[in-house]
Formats: sequence, structure tokens, C-alpha cells
Amino acid sequence: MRTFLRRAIDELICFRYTDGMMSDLRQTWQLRNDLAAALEITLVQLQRELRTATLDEVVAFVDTFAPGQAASPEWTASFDRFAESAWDALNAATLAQLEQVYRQRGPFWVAIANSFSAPHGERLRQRRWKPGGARLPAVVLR
Amino acid sequence: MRVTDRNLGQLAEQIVSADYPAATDTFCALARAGYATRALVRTAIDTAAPFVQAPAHLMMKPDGQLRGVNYDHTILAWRGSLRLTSALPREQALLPLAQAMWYVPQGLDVWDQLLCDFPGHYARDQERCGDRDEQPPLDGSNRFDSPAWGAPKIHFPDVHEPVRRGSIGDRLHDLLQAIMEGDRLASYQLFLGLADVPEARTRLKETILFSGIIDLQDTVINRGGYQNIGHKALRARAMVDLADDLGWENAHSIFYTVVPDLGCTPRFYPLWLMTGNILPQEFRSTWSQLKQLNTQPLSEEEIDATIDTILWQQPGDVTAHITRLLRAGKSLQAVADAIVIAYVRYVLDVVEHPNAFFTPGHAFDYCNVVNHWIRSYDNPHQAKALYFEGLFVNDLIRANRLFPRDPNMELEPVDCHREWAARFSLNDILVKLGEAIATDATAPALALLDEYLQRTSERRTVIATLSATAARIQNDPHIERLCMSSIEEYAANGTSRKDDILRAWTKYLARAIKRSRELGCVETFRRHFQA
Repeated sequence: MRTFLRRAIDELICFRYTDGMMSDLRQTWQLRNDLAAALEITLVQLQRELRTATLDEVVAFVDTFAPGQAASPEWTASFDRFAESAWDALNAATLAQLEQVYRQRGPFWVAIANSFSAPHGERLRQRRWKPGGARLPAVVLR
Repeated sequence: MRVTDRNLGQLAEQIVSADYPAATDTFCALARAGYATRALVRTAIDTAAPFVQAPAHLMMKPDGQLRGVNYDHTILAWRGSLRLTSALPREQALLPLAQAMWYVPQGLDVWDQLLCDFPGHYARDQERCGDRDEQPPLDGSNRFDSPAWGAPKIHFPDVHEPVRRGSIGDRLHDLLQAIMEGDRLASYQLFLGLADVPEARTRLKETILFSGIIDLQDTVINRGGYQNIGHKALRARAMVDLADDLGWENAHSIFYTVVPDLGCTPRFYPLWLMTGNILPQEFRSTWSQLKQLNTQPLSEEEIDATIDTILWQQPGDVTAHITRLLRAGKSLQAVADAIVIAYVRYVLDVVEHPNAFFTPGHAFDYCNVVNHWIRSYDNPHQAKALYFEGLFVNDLIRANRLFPRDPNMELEPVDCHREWAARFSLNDILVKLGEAIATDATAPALALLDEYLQRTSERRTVIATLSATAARIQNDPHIERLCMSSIEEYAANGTSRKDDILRAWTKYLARAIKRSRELGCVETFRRHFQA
């Protein structure tokens, strides 16, 4: 992972200093592949972390998407993508518990509770798209 | 003139006592009897003016916390409604004015409404004073609805002499300075003196718009009530339009309603100061001539980049992007048009939750004020306002992003309804469009509109349909204002994508949360005009 990331960072720095003009298409594609590989590894690691986390740990993490704890609006906006990962990694019982925790907190948390509801999980499953030859299902970045 | 037992004095009494159904009934009866509608509007503004000031737009609560105090919207209701009449078919032309009348008695003495000391829509709907009422009426009604149990308060008495000393230029300068310093009394006296000078009028209007435009927060994110979401500019525009419409010689109450509030606390100049640094750094002495020097349109790629930056990037990226466009010689109007298109793409592509339209809608209305100012007047500082517009839209988009998306609020795809929409004739599409909006059927409404826009280049009738549908929505002056912003920006937008403004307008009407679903005002209007 470190090799991919190091190379991707070097390439990104180069990209920035050349004002978005890579020296050639090959170099740009290399950057794309390195970032894709880094993202795949990150997503697999995220699955592992989620599967080994306790309910309290997941709740504490989900709480960081609330306006009072979020580092920025962009952090909160990434919650949709986290919910997708949660539906990939967590079992139905844990997801139901998560929904219950946030449903009990009242109207302010309804969007988060709805993200862990069974109908939403079903919708996500139906939309899941894994192209032939791809290692993982395609992801929306943000 | 038809005979009526109503008179203007009765109308005034009903307004002050917050009896909005009775005031609307009298307003319609007088209009039906042949009273000039502009005279009725003047009476309503004259009556409400003493009661729409706030001591400040921040209030300390008993626990020491600060909260925001809403801005007067009665004047916004009159401006939007009066302008909207011309977009409507003759038989419905007065409905927006009836809606304004329905709203005005509910919008008096906002300060005391927040304290549950006066009835109105803030006390009833926002503060829910009825829920806290220790002695609710026995009949189950809500006494914070209407009528009032006492008089509304006057927080800024209108007893000030106009200032007429000094040259016009000096007085305009002092007026702006007084507003920026928060000297409400001096600013009002200077304004009144200048309003008496017809040859100063264009410069005075420009100065008042300018003073409202530059008073804008840099962010609303986690700021609570410490922001104005563009209301200084929106109210300045309302004042200028209404004074032009009703006549400056008849406009004293309009001035009284708006001018003292321009200097009210709090005032925000972070963007004004930021652009005061950036533009001279980037453009040296030519920064103040950019309106004349920059004449290039934006390419389609540059419009795309503007949309992407405003919707998805950080404030610093927005600033850098606008600077790049100006350095490339792009005209101020072309950049402003692209910012409007960015807002409408946000509404069309991103917004789903009915609550998420409200504050970005304010940024759009603010853009409309800025763009009107750029189109109608000259001021060396106008390039700065592009940063205000772009950053304001970006900030409200980011502020919405601070709330996780609710999957239950997802909209169905418009494509699902295209085949259905294609079955109707053009006339039937307009009928169905009105029905779809009225029933919150967002995707069908957008499919119908797309079908109409594709089949014909006619736009006047579809604008009338949207306006007529909007005019049925009661208790909300934002609706008429949004209509006027959409109509004006549609007419003025120089991009190839101006139809998106009509699409976003449609989506807003169909999807944004409605303050009321009741039709009391429409029914009163019908009783008088369609009986």
C-alpha cells in the first residue's frame, strides 16, 4: 500500500506543479491506476475495520458525521458512501441495531436512521454494479 | 366603482390587529369595488411600516445565548407580488397581491413574535408559541395565529428630519459610511434628504443597492443567527423597485421600512474586505475598470468549470476560479450568468430534501439583486460582487452538505415519466404541469416541462403557468420573490442553458417545503373576483 501511495503522491505533486498538464497520457493513466489500487486497498481495510468494530465503536464513528463533530461539510457529505460500505460489511442484526440507535435519537437523526433501514439496504443491493473483470463493485467517490 | 361598505381605515385596523383573513377580505372587496390597487398597496405599506423594524437582528435569550432575529418580509411580499402581476393572466393578476395582503398582518413586530408577545407566522409556526401557551383558549384555537391582543411595538420611531447639507456626492458617501458604521439615525436622515432630490435618484438607488450587496456574511456554516443570508440586498432591491413602481413622492413608508434596517446590527463585511485586497493585488489599478475592459463570453467548458467549482469545491477554489476568469478577460455579466447556472444545476442535480431548497434560494435571489445592479448601474466595485455571488452560492451548498442525505427523500428519475409526458398536447402539458406542482409530483412536473421546452420555443405561457401555480401558495413571500428572480434571470441570462432556470424554478415549486397547504387566500380571492 505504501508503494502505491508514495508513487501516487509523487505523481499528484507533479500533476499540481505542471498545472494539470501531465507529461503524457501514459503517466496520467499510471496515476489513475495507482490511485485506484490505493482506494481498493483502503476499501478492503475499511471492511475489515467495520467487521471487527463493536456497535459502540461504529456509533461513535457515525456520530462524527453530525454537524457538531464533522471536520467539514465534505466529511458529512461522505456519509452516503460510508452507509454503502456499512451495508457491504455489517450483518443485518448490527444494521438493525444501528437503525434503532439513531431512530431513538429523534428527528435530527432521521436521515442517518433511514440510511440503515432495510428498504434502503435493499435499494443499495439492487444498484450494486460489478463490471465483468472488476475486482470490486464500482464505487461512487463522493 | 362598485359599492362596498369597506374603507381604507378598516383595512389599516385589520392589518395592525394581525387579522389577516379580514384584511385580505377587505383588500379584495376594495379592489373589486374599484379602488386603485396601488393605492391599496400604499395604504398597507403605510400601515405596516412603523411595526416592521427590529432593535437588532440578534437577540440575547434569558440563558445568555444569542439567536438571530428574522428580517421583515412584508416589503419583500409587496415587491414580488406587484411585479408578478404582469406575468399572470388578467383574471389572476391580483392574486399575488392578495397573497401579500394575507402575509403582511402576520409579519409585524417580528421581535415580539419571537418572544411570544405578538401573533403572526413567526410566533405561530417558527416559535410554536401555542405549544408553550400556559392558558390556551378553551375552543382549542391558537391565539398566536390572529387577531392581536395588543398593539405591535414601534422599535424605531419615524420622527427624524431629513439632512440636506452638503453636496450630493458627499451626502451619498456619508450615507454609505453611516450604514456601514451602523448609525441608523444618520443614514435614515441622509437618505430622506437625498430622496427629495430627483436628479440624485439614480445615484441614490445605486448606493442603496450597493450598501445592501456588500453586507454579506462569509459563511453560514455553524453560525446560527449570525448571518443575514442576503436580506440587506433583497430588501434594498424591494425598496428601489417599489419606490419606482408607486412613485418616489409616495414612497416615504417604503423608505421607513427599509433604510433604517440597512444599518441594523449585525453587519458583515468580510467579503467586502477580502475582495478589496484581492482585486488590487491581481489587477493593479485596472481592477475598477474590469466592467469596461472585460468583454469576452464564457466558453461552454468555462461554464462547466464554474458549475463544478461552485458545487463541489472549497471557497478558496471559487475565489481562484473567478479570478482566473477575470484575468482571462471574461465579462462581469458572463461570469454572473454562469454563477446563476451553477445554482440551478445544484437545484436540478443535487437537491432532494424539501428543506434543502430554502437557503440556497436566498442565494439565488441575492444573485438576482447583484446581477440587476450590474446590468442597470455602473460602479467601479462591481467586479467584487462576482466573488460575493459565487462564494454565497458555494457556502449555502456546503452548508446543506453538513446534513447527511436522507435516502428516504430520494427523487424518482425524471426519465420514468418522459413517455407519459409526451402523450399530451402543449396546452394539456401546461394544465398537467400546474397539477403536478400542486401535488408535489416533482419528477412528472420536470418531465412535462422538458417535453414542453423541447416541443416549442414559446416561453411566455409556460412562465405564466408557473407564476399562476406559485401564486396559490400562501404565507410565503419567498415564493413570489423566487418567481421574479427566475423570470428576470431567465430574460437576461446570456448562456445557452437559460432553460435550466425554468427547470430549477419548477423543481423548487414542486419540491420545496411549503409553509402552508391551505388555500384560504385563494378562496377569499375567488369569492370576490370569480363569483
